[in-house]
Amino acid sequence: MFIAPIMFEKFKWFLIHFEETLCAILFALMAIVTFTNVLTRYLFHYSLAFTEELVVSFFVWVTLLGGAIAFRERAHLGFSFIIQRLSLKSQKFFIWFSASLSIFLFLILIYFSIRQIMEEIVLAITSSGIGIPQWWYTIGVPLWSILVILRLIQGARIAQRQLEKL
Amino acid sequence: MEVSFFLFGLFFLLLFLGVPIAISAGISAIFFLWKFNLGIQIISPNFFANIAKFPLLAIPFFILAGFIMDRVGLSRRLVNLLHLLIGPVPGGLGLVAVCGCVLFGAISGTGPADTAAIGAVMIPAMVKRGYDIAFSSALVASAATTDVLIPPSVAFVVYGVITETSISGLFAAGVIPGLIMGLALILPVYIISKKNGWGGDRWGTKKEIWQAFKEAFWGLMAPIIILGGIYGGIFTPTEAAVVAVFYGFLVGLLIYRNLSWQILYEVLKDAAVSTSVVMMVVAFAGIFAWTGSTLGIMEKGAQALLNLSQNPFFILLFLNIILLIAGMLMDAISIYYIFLPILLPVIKYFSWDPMWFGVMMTVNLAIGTVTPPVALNLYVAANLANISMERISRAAIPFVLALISALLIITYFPSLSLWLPRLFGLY
Repeated sequence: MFIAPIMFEKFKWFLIHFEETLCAILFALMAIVTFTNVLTRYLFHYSLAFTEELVVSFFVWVTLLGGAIAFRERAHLGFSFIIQRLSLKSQKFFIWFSASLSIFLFLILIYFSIRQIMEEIVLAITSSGIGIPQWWYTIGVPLWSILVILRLIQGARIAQRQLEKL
Repeated sequence: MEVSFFLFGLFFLLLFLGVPIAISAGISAIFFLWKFNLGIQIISPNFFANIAKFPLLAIPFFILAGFIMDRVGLSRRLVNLLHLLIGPVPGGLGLVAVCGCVLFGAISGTGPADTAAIGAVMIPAMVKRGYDIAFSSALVASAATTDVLIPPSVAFVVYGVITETSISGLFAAGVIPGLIMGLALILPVYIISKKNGWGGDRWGTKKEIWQAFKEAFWGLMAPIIILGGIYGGIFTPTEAAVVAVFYGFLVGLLIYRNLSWQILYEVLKDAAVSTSVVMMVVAFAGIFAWTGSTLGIMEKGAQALLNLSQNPFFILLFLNIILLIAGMLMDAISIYYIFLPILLPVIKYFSWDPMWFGVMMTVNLAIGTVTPPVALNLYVAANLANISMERISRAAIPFVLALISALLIITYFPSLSLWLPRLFGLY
């Protein structure tokens, strides 16, 4: 009978750390594929150059997934010198001002990346190296941007709560 | 002139209102893309293409390599060896910190990572031996600025990609300027420490030194593999970076035997977050630069700069001042994307060497990591030492002055940067 709460806890951990796990796996894959490529080229004089597109596309995915984590941890670079000297109420306002602009930017990115994907499907564009449909790579942009927006909201709420504690 | 004012004006307005740099650049870019009907839809393919470049892959891999080498205990072993070799002279532990940062800089690719790795070991050690805590943490942060110049360097990878300059060449060009910056720090360390009677414990015995050398040996091999591989013509910088990742992984797994799945997972996650912070700027500031260039704003900016004066020495001094100020407000990567499109026509006009200019610009931006209000290295060191930004900033003043004198030497003697690339035939 204790299984249910434990499973719920696990599920909660998974919800919070979902992109961390995915990000770590993709990053490890990037390193392994690139390293294998170096090995095969120098040891067997056989180039796996077609895998390059896989690695650079995962790089885009990892940027968005890691970016989502960074928004939750508020690790993105910025200039908070002026804002930090304002009243608590204004600080709260600017947390949400910044979050809204960020969400707006990623919504625009989602909208146009979906249009790009639809075009790629209609024109049946395939990748130059492996020859798989290009949109298999592009789909990462809107998908992980949604996650970025969720973490943006979460990060802003955490920052607001920290302000209220002061 | 009006339009250019607004594109940059909107960017700086958002920046000062606390919006992250990447978002400020992205929002001002799409606003102008929309206003001037340049086709806002380019945001999607540009975002993808700005990141998906093979040379840029050196960034995540060098960050990951540095994080792994730190976690398996390499920075601690390097510092141990240095301590036995130079510890007891006046300011000895300070010198250990400087040399440690320079040496670890040959493994790690960013200043904040170097600050964290060496600072975690050196700041407590220095405080224990009686050094002032603000002095110690400001010193580590300042010495870690050399990491940006000492190869491998994330900043040079980005500069190389934007200006289409050889990254291997830039790596070679950074070595001597990086060492000059390290040397420049020794003087204030020596004077301040001597005045306060700060030193080290005792000289290491031959046996101790040999033992420490054996422990640090595998770490000292890493830069030889990375740089030897690049300059032996065996690896591209990206390949060298991924080789360094697996080298660090194997050293941790087989020799130091302290690498667990848990640590590997944490290192991958932390390195991914650090990478993303850089790459988000690359993606959106890249769109900003594209927008500015398409609107012809960047050329107008260059023209305005040349109208100011035709004297290259004056323009150089002026650029140094502008870049130092920019470095107080932003990180290096953003500054490359936002300022280089304006500066490239100027570089061409005076027929300056882009490799030397890259080194000069990067030294400016490296100093920017220890000049508040935006001072990444100081921020990391202040957090490690648990002291206020005000305190660490005040303690950093003598070091910043020393670094600026190094900057002037590097700016006005281009051969210091270009000698090594010429030697390797990369120039």
